[in-house]
Amino acid sequence: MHDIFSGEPDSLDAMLRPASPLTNDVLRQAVYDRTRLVLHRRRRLRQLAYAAALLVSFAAGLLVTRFSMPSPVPPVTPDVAVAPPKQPIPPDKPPAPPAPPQPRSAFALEWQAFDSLQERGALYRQAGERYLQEEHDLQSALRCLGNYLDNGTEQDLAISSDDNWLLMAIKVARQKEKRHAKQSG
Amino acid sequence: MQAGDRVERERELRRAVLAGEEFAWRTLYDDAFAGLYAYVLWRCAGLRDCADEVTQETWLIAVRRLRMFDPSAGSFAAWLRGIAANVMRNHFRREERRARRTQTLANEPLAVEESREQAERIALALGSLPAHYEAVLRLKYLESRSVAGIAAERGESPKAVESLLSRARETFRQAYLRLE
Repeated sequence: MHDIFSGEPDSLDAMLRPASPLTNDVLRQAVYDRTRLVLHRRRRLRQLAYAAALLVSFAAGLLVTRFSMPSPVPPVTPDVAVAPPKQPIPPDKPPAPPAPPQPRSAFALEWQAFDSLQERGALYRQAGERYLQEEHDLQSALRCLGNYLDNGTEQDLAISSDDNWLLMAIKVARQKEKRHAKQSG
Repeated sequence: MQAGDRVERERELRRAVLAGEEFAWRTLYDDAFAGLYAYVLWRCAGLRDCADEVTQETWLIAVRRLRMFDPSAGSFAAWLRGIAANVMRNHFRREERRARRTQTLANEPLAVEESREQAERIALALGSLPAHYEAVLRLKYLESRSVAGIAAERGESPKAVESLLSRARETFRQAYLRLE
């Protein structure tokens, strides 16, 4: 193949022909040293950034640990349940008697008195005393104590030292009633 | 070297340099220094002080911007030539301004001064060429390739390359004459 540009060189060829590139070892080494400095600086910066990141992580960890811990609490002496010294149980001691039955309410006693035939009077009295002392229900106490006297005997109308003030007042009133009834005939 | 091998090798060297391995940089540098210097010297029309300055600046830019180098987009040598072309453009712009300021103070021997001016015009004319003209002239004159070799590399017919070379030379000539 004929290469038209491989013939006699003209002035343009002379202009475009390269100068002989003499090996410039001094320049080569000088430029390399400068580029290597850039690489070193970059590596140092990366190491510093890495160290800084480590420090920041460490500091953050410390802060998180500090704030996540509960505030110090004064030491509390543990509550120790001290068991009382066991009393030696004499082997021949009889078993404890059964606990007494829980006292019934005034209302229950009143119903029990209503249902009972033998102990009606006594139960009405117990119910009336409870209404008066425990529940301060004067109306109910008056009713029960009246029923007690209605179901009692003539002797029950006698004032006793065991009577409470209400029962005494009712007995006095009943005795007056009887006297008036006798007098009026 | 096959294109795939070249890409793989340069990619690995780039990765190693970015990881801080100096040996990898030394390899890239040694492989490319002579070719780059020859190119810069050709583009500077033989002005060695210009070539030294441009070469140094090109390498410093390259080492700072190595992360931008993509081996799959082109060879390391081509990437360096791209940087050098930009550096030269700036260099000659600066030189032009400086020459205007110091025109009356020049005291170099006339022959030396004329020779330098001609070299600068050649460099400026080369710098003004479109990239494909500059490339074909580089292959022909700097790398001493034959038309057939250039045609094979570019995937074109020898006739097309001859035509391209003619147009490139003519454009260069006109650019040079405009600078006279």
